[in-house]
Amino acid sequence: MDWFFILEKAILIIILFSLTLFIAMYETYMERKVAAFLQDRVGPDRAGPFGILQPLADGGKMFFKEDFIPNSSEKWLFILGPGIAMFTALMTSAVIPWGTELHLFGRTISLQVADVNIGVLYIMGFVSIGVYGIMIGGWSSNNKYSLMGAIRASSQMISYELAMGLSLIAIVMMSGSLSLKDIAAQQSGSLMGIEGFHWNVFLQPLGFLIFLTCAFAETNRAPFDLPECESELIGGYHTEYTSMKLGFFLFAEYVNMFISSTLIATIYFGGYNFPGLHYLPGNWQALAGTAVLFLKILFFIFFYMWVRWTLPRFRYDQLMHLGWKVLIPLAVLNMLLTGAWMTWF
Amino acid sequence: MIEILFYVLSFVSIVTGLMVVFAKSPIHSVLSLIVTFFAIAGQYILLNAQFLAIVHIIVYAGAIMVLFLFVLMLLNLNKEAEPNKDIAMKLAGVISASLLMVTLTGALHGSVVPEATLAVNTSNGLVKNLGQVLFKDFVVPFEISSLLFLAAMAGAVLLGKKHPSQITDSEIQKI
Amino acid sequence: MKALIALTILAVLALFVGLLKSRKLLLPLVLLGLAGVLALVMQYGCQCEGTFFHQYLDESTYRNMFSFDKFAAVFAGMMLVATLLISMLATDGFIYNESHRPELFALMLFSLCGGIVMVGSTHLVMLFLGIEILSIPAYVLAGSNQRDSQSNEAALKYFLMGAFTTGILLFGIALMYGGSGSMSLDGLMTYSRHSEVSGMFKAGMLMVLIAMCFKIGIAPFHFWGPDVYEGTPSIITSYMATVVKTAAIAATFRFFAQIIGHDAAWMISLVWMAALTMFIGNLTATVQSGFKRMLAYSSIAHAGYVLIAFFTPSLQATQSVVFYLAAYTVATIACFAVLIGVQQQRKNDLFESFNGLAKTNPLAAFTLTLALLSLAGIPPLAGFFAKYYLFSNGWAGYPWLILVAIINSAISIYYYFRTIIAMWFHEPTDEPLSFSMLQKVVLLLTLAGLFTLGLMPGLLLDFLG
Repeated sequence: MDWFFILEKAILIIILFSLTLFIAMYETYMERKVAAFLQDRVGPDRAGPFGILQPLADGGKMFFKEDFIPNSSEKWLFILGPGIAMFTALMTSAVIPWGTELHLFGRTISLQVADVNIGVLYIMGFVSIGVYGIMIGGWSSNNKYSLMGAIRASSQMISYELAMGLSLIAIVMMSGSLSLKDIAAQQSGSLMGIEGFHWNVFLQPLGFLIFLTCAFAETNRAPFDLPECESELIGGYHTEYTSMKLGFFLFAEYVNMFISSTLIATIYFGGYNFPGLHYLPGNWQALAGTAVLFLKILFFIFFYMWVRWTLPRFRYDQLMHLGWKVLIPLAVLNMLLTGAWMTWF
Repeated sequence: MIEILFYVLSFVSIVTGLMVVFAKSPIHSVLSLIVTFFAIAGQYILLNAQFLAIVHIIVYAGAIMVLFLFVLMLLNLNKEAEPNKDIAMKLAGVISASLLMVTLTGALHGSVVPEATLAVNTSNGLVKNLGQVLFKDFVVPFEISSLLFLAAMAGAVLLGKKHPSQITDSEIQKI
Repeated sequence: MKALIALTILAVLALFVGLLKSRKLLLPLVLLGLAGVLALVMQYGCQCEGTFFHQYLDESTYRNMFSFDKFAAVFAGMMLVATLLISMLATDGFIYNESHRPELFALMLFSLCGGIVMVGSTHLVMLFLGIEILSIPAYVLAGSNQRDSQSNEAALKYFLMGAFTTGILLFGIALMYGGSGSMSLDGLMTYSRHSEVSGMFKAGMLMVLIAMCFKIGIAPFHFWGPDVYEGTPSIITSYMATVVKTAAIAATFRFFAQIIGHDAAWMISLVWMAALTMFIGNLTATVQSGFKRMLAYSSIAHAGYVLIAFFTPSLQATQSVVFYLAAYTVATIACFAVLIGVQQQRKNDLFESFNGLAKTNPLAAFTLTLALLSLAGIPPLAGFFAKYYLFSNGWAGYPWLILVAIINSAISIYYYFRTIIAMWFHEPTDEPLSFSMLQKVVLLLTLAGLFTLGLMPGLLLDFLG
């Protein structure tokens, strides 16, 4: 057994874990700042300079609030729900290649926790399991608004999973691999003479649009945030939740947002690749790649928020119509076009 | 290591399998079944069949069981809704299940497993090899199964569509 | 394989015709299409050599998956003819769900595709797929009369039982594979003849057999049969009683004859099951008050007779199965053709509803009489020769079983004659029934079939070699 290998992976996992939580935490701050910016307000500015400590204050509030479990709920499932939501949100980051390889102490360290050869499917798997946290939480609350929120959430997620999977199939067809590492590495080629610019978004524009829309729906973000639509459902599936259990649900949403931004960046926007990456020497390549990846991720997180504070919410039947009658046929069409293109060109 | 994992996973799948049967509330049954699926997916991974494992999870845990939960939650089935089976039915069930078990144990006890089955090619479960098998040796069943799905889809639409004559006379009068 | 593809395209076309909303186009399309596929199958069947089963391991068998040999061609042709006749009844048969006629046709054709896959399958995976393609549309068709609670009940019963059976079948297939390391028919054949057969294989074979007996409706796995047959709309029942049953028997025969047909240990339990099936089917049929339920039990009994051929695997046995099923199919469709008319206009299927049919509708009464006599095995009709051929071949195997079968045939005369007596010797209580042109054509065709098979059995037998 190679103990260094285990150590190295353990360190990577811990870094990733804390980074994910940290980013998720500051996403809440970012969201409020972006909202304020878009609405020409100031936003949080009391805790620390520019309100930078606001997330800590929010976190503290979550922890110290009374933890309340409704009498009529299924106690175990009520606790399990947010746990599953958080767990599935955090698990997905395992297969994402955060950069190329680092060379330290004579060892080659891959900046990916696990290069499983079914990376894309692994992600689809965890996305599909993510429904359970919401469903279990919503049902066990024993409250009709929670239940309706949960059912809305799960039917929405199942519906959009299909189009998402179909748009990914086109990518898999082109790259010939299910491993995210391969998919990211293949985008380092040249397009129109620019090295490191062979991004899938230029080859799969339709697939990208479908994936992006589905990613919004999968994370239950506006304009598809019907599961927590307050004008109809009070608070949606987490109506009965308080304290850190509520915090877990909210947090899971922000983690999901982070992860889906990462996926968009990795699958469609070249991952850690950018023009000029290969001129850099050795370890700088890995570090710069990772930094660029995070810049891309930040942009997409911003994009999420931009959309949230710009577009109004869909109606539920419109949501289903879009998912089943527009996106799925488009995704199939995209798949067919990709196949035809690959066969004849 | 692998052997320990095998026993742990087997234990989990059997225990949760029993919980599926014995749980009073249907929701608990479904949740136990999901855990069983995960344990079985774990077994697949031990056999180096990662593709199968993840597809198992996506299809069964991710799609089918969600629909189960959907129906259970919408119908609000719970402990009270469980119908009482009479003792004769239970007895018949126990006897026939025991008979099946005796038959199977008798048949499997000391039965010779041929080389062909034991010689597991550990790379068989990888996507590439699976694709080779699926699209070369098993291409006819693969294509034929599309017929099955088409037929099932047409059938589901037929059953799901509202019958025009289900619109009652009073509804017609309203129009 | 060509026939299969053509049939699938036909089914999809039927769906599209539904989209066009052109009522007139549908029936001619289906009938012409079925006739075309039938021609394709017949032309292929004539080319095949004398032996029924392909020698495997050649490229034409699609990597040992599917072999459209003479056996498959004959049974596929039989099922196609049956579906063709049933489609002609559909003008009146599908009246309960007028708006979804194209979908009903398409489902029936899909199901037929499954039947063809089943009779041609030489691999357990294909067998399983065939069974599912056959069954799933059949579940839907059974429940296609959504306004009728009996139809819904039948569909649910059929579906639940079928689903459990599928589970047993799959478990059996897995065990068989575990035991032998092969799922193709020739692999299993070699394994079962040449090596020490493991218990795992035997357990698997047992489960596969149980599942197949379920599908055919062999006692003690027949309980779903009568309820499902009764609740299902009659036209679908006629399909289930003929095509579904034929496919299941043919597939079982292919696998049974080749894998364990030589093994006496398997025979004895099946022999008892055959005897039990005959007794249960015939004795219960005598106490029924409805014509349809009586037919359901009689179809169980007939499956029991066919089992006789399983115990003496030979060319003659295969021929006798084909001949018996052909005679049974023609007679059953004739019965249902009359039943559909009676049910629709009299609103029930009691024997009293057939009173005086001979005076009011001589053609229907005459055909039904001959069909029932053929089912009972009265010369010179098709059923007599089929039974004679079956029993004389089976005598070499288990003589006492043949005696049981003959006793049962005698019992069956009793309940078949109840309807005949009602038709000919009772006064009509209602106004005459009206049969449409196509229904009359079906009656005439089945009549011709009963006589041709009975008087000139050589026609079919020569074709069978």
